[in-house]
Amino acid sequence: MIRASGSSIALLGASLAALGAVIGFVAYPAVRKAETRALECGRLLGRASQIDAVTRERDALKQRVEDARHASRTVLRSIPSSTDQASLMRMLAVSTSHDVLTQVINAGESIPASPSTKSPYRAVPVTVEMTATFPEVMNLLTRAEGSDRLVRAIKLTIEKQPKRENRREPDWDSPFVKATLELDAVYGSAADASDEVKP
Amino acid sequence: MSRRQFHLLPTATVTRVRANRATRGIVFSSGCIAAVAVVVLGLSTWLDAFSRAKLAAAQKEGAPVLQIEQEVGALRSVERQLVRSLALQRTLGNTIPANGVIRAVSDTLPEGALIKSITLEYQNVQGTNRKQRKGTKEVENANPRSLVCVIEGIALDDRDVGAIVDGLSKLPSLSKVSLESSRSYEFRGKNAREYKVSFIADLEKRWRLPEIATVTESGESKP
Repeated sequence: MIRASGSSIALLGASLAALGAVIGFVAYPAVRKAETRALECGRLLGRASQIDAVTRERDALKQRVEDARHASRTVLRSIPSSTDQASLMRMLAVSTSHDVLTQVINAGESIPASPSTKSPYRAVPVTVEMTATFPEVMNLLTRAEGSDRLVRAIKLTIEKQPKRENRREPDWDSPFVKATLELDAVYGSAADASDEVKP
Repeated sequence: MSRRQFHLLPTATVTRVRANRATRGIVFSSGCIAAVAVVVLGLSTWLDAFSRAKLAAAQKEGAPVLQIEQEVGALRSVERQLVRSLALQRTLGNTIPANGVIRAVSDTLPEGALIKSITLEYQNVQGTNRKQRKGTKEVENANPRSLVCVIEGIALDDRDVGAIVDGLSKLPSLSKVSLESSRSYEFRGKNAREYKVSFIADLEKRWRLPEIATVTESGESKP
């Protein structure tokens, strides 16, 4: 039995390992990178030859985004991260005058803004009870629904003020209506600030 | 005649010579493999540098395009954000505002008709603080959002009541307009009709989002 020296066999093993390592850790990644770079080169050179088309695409997209931004500015309400009840009350409060006889505003406990349990948004319910002229009630409702903050109507009842002597009969001569406006103002938690909507 | 080979050298020496020869062969093979590894390493390094240089040249050539593409990417991101915000607005907001409904209803009233009361209720828009039972799965859109409206008032006669129902039926956002009751009513000594009409609006449809009102200097808001 002829036996080569152990050191030569070890040398053979080491050289095979070195070859394997070179192929596995250097050659193969280099070939993959070269392939990827060649593809990127081809794409870049192809795009470079289409600079006019890319510029046109950019300009069209810029115009589209500008139009969308302009359109959304008129409809997109903000959703503050906190309840901000003070500004809500300021928006809804009207002082008594010859057009507004009474107004009571009650704020409730916050509830989820959507039936979906996954929604992180909540809403502060506010009930406005007022006796005022119909235009005053409409003015308040339009101001609430048209504000730049997301305020929703939930339930509204507007009825002619009843007669004093017969509460079941409306007083057609009175200019006043009795209105109950249940509204809610949506807000989102600070953790969801990334989703905060700003017009 | 048979031949028989034999060495003059002792067997141990022959074995050592053969072993040395085998060792030299293995060492030579190892050298070759190492050389191949070095060549492969060199080629790989060259290929890496070559492809990098080519990519750099292509990037230099395509730099203006890359810049435009970055702009396109940023614009697309803004567009996506706007779409998301609008979708959120549709999910959380009322696409049919109450003031618009009341105005539309009052516009459809024929001359002489009056409204005694109007009730609008937006259903399934809010959540509840009640905890969901364990094990019950949430069913999305199980109850679609809707607006239920009931108006009560008086009209001169049945023809006017019919006109109110017809006028409301023509409004594109309303459905299921129905006359719930119509009965005689004495209004300031004259015969009139007291009516009750109800209708529904589907809030899940893609209605145009209501605009933000602009506040005038006098403090009045215009839709």
